[in-house]
Amino acid sequence: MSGPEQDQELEDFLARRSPVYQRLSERDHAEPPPELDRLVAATAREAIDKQTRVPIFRSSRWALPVALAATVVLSLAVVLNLGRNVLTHNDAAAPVTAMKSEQAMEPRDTTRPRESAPVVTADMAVASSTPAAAPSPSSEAPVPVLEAESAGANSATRRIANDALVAANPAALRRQSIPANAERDDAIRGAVPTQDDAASVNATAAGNADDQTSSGRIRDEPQPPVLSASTRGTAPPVAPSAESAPTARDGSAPALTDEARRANPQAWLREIEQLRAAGKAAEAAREMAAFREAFPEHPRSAVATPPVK
Amino acid sequence: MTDEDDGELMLRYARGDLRAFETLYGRHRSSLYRYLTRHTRDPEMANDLFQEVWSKVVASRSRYEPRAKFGTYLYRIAHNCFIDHCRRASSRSDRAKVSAEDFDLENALHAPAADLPDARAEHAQTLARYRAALASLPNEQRDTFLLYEESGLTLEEIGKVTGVSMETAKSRLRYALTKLRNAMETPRQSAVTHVAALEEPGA
Repeated sequence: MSGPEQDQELEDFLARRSPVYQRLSERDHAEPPPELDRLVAATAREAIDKQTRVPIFRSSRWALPVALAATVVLSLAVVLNLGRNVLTHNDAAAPVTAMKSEQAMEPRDTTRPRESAPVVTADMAVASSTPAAAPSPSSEAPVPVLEAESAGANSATRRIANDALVAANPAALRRQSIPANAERDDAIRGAVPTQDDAASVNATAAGNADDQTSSGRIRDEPQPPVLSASTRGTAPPVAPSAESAPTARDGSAPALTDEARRANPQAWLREIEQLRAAGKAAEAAREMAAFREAFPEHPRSAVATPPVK
Repeated sequence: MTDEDDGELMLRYARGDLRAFETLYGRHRSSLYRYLTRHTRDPEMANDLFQEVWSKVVASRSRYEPRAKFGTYLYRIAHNCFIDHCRRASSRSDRAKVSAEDFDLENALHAPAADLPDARAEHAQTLARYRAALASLPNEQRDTFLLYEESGLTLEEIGKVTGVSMETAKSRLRYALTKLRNAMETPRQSAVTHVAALEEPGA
């Protein structure tokens, strides 16, 4: 079927030189109906109208559902977090309230003044109790045992002890780091009372002013008498300074300054006693007058009367 | 207007120029409609396919790139639409296998020979034979013949449209021409024989 005749016919057809088919094609003239033209034109016009109505910033198909899902998730997270914060706040406030109520309900035990928390910073407590805190074998030596009298001091002492233990056994640091930190925070919290507790703590500290000044006091020293409330108010609840250092019993210690005397009436009284013992009656009387002027409401029984000569 | 202008018109329409589409449509509407009508041999189906082809052209305007002739692009869409139509309505393909006699009878019913002059009647008969011969061709050969006749594409472009090589398209076209010639010549020969037979008794 691929003879020369067919090839010639094909060449004529390809060269558009075949009049037969051309004539047939012209006779078989077919045109699309006008309705079809209108339909196609309407389709094209509608597509252009839709295109012009499309906004400039055209978001993807997934943008809307993703935005909705993200909004819902974020809203839920915020609501849940708010609820959790409220619960946490309530939980945190409950112990403080309980502590306050316990402090209010618990009667102040004047026989155990050493358990009250003085106004002493943790650093000061650490500094004062460092020699006794180290768990070394030498701690059993007849070294004077220093009292860690306040809760802050106890915590600070515990911290020092923990540090020493950790230094000896580093693995203990990893195991006990979290409780140690918690205890340290508790110690700081206990050593530095809140503003709400300042009045009660200060009153207690003033009542135990002697204890404050004797963070390095020897244990066998006699207990000071309890001061009255008015006396507590006059005594500033501050940590003892270097001037109010423990006084030696031999009386060879230097005389106290006026500020130290006013801060520590017991030390002042001891100084007066020492003056009397030394035979300086006039000076002792002068000091006694100054003492009564400074502490007019100090109980008379607490003030030693001069021996009758 | 050149084919490059067709591509430019399509780009202008993609940018929103409706006039460009109207020009493009007016340039290709007749040839595309004839291609579809002769291919399907069903005016209603041709109308549907014609609308579908132009709808696809409209929908794909933003993706159009003038890398080839617009005619190649347009008739590839038409070819694919026709293939899809054949797959969708396989039962209708049986209807396409009408014989030449049926086709002639159908045309004779629509155009009574008594109302036509002799010349017009002869033309009508020739056209009917042409349509019948075209309908008797296999789909691939008819497609290739019609694409060459109506779209004005080259054999290479027809090969691209139909998804075959240029040699295959050329072979299909050769077979189509041979079958068409044979189908067109047979009635004429029979008529000549019939006339000679008629003349012999009177001679």
